[in-house]
Amino acid sequence: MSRYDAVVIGAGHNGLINAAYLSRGGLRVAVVERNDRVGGATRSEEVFPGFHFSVFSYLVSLLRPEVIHDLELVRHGLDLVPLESTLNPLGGGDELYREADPMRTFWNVARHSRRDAEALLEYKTEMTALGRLAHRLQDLVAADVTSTALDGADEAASADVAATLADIARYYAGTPEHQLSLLYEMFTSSADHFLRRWFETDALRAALATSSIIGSWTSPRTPGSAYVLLHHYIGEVDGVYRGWGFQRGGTGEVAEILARAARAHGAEILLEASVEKVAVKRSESGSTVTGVVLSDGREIEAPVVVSSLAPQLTFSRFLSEGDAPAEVFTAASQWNSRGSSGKVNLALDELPSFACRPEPGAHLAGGFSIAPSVDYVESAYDEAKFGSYSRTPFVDGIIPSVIDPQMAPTGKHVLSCFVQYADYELKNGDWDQSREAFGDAVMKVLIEHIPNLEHCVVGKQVLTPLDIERIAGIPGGNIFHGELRLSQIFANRPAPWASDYATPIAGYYVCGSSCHPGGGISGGPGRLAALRILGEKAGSFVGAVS
Amino acid sequence: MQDGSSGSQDREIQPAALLHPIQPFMPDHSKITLDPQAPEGTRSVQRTMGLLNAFRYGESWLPLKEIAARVGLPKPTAHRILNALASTRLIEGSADGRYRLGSAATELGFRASIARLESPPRPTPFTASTVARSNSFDYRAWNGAVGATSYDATFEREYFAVRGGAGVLDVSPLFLYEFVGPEAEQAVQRILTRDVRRCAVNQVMYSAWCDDDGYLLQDGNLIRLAPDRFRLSTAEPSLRWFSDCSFGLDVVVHDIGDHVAKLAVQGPLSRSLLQRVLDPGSASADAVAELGYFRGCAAEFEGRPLYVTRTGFTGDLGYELWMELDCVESGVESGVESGCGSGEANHAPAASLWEALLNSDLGPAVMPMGLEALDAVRIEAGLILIDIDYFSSSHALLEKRHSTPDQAGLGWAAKMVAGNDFVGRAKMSQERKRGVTSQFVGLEIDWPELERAYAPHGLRPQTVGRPPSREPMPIRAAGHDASGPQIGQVTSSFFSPRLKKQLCLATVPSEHAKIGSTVQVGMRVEMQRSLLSATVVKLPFYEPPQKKAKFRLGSGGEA
Repeated sequence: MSRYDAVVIGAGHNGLINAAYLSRGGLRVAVVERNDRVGGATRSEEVFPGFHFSVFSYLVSLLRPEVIHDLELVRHGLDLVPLESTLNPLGGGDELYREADPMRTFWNVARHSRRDAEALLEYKTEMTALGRLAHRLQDLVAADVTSTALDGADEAASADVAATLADIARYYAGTPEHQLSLLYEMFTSSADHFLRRWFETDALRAALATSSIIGSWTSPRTPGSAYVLLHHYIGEVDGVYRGWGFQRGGTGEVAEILARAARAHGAEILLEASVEKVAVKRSESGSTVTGVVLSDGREIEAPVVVSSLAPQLTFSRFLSEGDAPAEVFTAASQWNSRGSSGKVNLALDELPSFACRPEPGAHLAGGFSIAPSVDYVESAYDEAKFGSYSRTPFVDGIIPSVIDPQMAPTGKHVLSCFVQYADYELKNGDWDQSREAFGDAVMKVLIEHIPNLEHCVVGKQVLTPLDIERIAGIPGGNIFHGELRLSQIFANRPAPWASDYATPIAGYYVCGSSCHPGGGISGGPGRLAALRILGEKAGSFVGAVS
Repeated sequence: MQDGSSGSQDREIQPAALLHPIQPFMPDHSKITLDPQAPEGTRSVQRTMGLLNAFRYGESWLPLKEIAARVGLPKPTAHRILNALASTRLIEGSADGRYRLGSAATELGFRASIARLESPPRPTPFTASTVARSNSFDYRAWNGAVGATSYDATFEREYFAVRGGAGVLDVSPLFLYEFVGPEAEQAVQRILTRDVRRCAVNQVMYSAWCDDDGYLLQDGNLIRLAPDRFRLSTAEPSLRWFSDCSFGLDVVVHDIGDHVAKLAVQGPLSRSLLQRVLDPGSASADAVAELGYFRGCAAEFEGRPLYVTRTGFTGDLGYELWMELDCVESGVESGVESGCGSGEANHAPAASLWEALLNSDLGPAVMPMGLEALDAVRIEAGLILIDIDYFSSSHALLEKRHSTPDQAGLGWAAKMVAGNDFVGRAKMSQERKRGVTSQFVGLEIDWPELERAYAPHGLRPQTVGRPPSREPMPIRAAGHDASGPQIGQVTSSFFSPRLKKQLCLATVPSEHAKIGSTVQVGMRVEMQRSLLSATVVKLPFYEPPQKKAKFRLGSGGEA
């Protein structure tokens, strides 16, 4: 039996960041990972000889600048290239092209509506401001503000909640009223409705609304979808609110970099070490964690265990009945992490040529998005929401080999497509039977807008929500570890009694994407959980970290 | 466009090409009326011009049918003439039977627009090529010519291309001098601070040179082509100084700048790129592949000789190509040494080298690179820039504007070894004995402090994503407030997207120049000066392994 100060379960980006921070804080840390490599959903692979793919997560936007600086990620190899533009092919040779230069974008949009082109400039400023407001919540440990701790019965807990509330009050003091009201609307409104405030062009609303549905079981016309829109606007590259970044070598490289940073601080990463259960000692006063037991029988003793996995695993799988109050198991089983998306990775022997922009150009170094109208996306949702997948899906793609030639052999390319919708729970048949048909549906849509894909695809990998569950270990295959909606964010992520990363079992913590501030390669949960644990060790509660 | 009443949701959206927001006020010359009396030659020219004029402002690819209709010609006739024009590159045809104006039309237009200027900038051998690639038309004056600031709306794609792939940069506005003669070595030695006796043939030496008072005049690269033949590239005109310094020696100094096309090919993929473009399979291509750091060799492009050095201003793996040009006029003896008199050099081979580099199968990983991206990477590389980080003593008006090589961080290039007698040595030597008062250093601004400076405004640091700044910033000693004495200045600064750091090149007093010492930089944050801590760090800020790597043939080596 080995002993550590802390064991982190799962070597995804949050687990690794958590381990790096804990080690940096002086703890002896072991990370246990089921797979033979680090990464979880942050994974690169040579799927076809010479062709490298970011298998799941394909862009980095939300990685907190604090994490980059604190863990010296650049020294360990972080190299993010911004993704400057998005091309939306609309069919019939038409397009909507948003570029790095706002004034060029203005003229591109003005072809559709001069009014919308002006509105887009205002919208960006407004959303950046809102993103800044929401952003403040990101750096806050979400103490359970719904609890009754404020009555003073538990002094420490009261102080936590009071501190959180005071921070929120301080942050939002002086915020212009219209911004607060917009913020409120974002939390409750549908993306399409919210966007109608600004835009009359359907294609533009569709293009912007795609940010509201990525990774979610929701559509542009579903109330609440506007929040996901905001979640994406909180993204930063280099500490600035703007687009998305692409890691040279693929996102798997991000995990490798984090692993190097964690090891540099002394953390040990144990691969092919699958956790069977979390060892808990029960007593009169409650349960206390004592370590983990691996499926090969090895036991690791530690007073602190941090799980970066989804609640279904963290609680239902790893704990036994009686280890925790019944409500813990109920909440875990209620957690909504039903996957809605798949991926199609293509190896190409020439550059894609868009019907609307056949010539190679700067647009290939950006992203593209197939969502020509709000109806299109809404229909895609309809086709999938009763236990199926979209026959004409929404596709969000990038061509990483244009930005980073190492991803493919010279002159050849890789195309990575995020596809929605695909219900994790198929009504008829299972995903292993439906994978081909799903892939064909995606290809049909792609070929319509990128005709040369008809003959230049030399390799095709289709990944369903089931594959995401199997490989990345996310139950249900939800890319955020759980829906990002009002019912599952802030103090409710993953549940009020674990919102500050501590669970009802002493010494057992959570730090995954299913915790505040949520999914995306942000590292926020991993970092905040580590600060919370270290703060507890040092005898002080670390609340807002400025 | 908007009538305000109709919901635009159902509005028919027209294809991009036909709905350009700017309708030009240029007359339409496409419709032609052929005069049956005119000779066939004239009518043929009219048809041709009609076809060229069928392409309106803002339009790109047009189908044959549309072009023929606009001109009023039968389709087969239009097709025949368009294909003839395609052979001259005035028109370009696509695989699916569409046409657009071709690269020869761009060059022609560029030449015509230059010809109409009262005082046109001097075109370099690549100017026409760069204009054809520019999306921003953003140029800046450079030695009487122009250099692209950036090809796009932002410099970032070029920056990431040169850091991750390769960038191609026209450096032809640089001056280039050739020293020829039995005493060429003595002449060069007299001028440069480096000991050029140690410079082997096909070696390049980076050096500074000074005036009589030991003050820095310029810095540049010396190439030794033969025991009695050197080339020296400089930022500013230097023929007079070099000739004066050669007084009494058996050497001739030629100004050959106009007749050599100079191109920098920089970045981790630059070697791969040259291997593809410089006549693959030739012996010289292999020599280029194995070229060492600061070495040069002869090479060939399409059978035409050029010289390649493994040098650059980016701090990464990189090469500079030097292609000698012929004269346009026939009958004049061609070649560099004879010069072209008043004749112009033939730019065509240079243009085709440019096209070959940018059309390789490395695709978009290779980009033309502008001066903004260059400035960004040279700061990361810790390379000093004349007129920005120091003043040349030839035009420093005030005593304090002068710098010695020691102060400019070039002291290592001025070794006081026996026999290395260069202009300014005596004064420099005295100065060195007294001790160097100030030094050129790299500073890294404390990031949390920068964030804190912006926080009261509710902003993140606004330096991110911006091009490099040449705004001088005052430096004060640590522990002083804004009323404390200014002890030095930042001359170049840049947020490096690669290193995620706010970098500065600065001059500080020697007692503050030690690695790890801290000073304060007065940075402008939302219109106010904020004093921010900065730490002296080792230069270069960025040095990838491939920069100085040894390459053997067949080895990949690229990062």
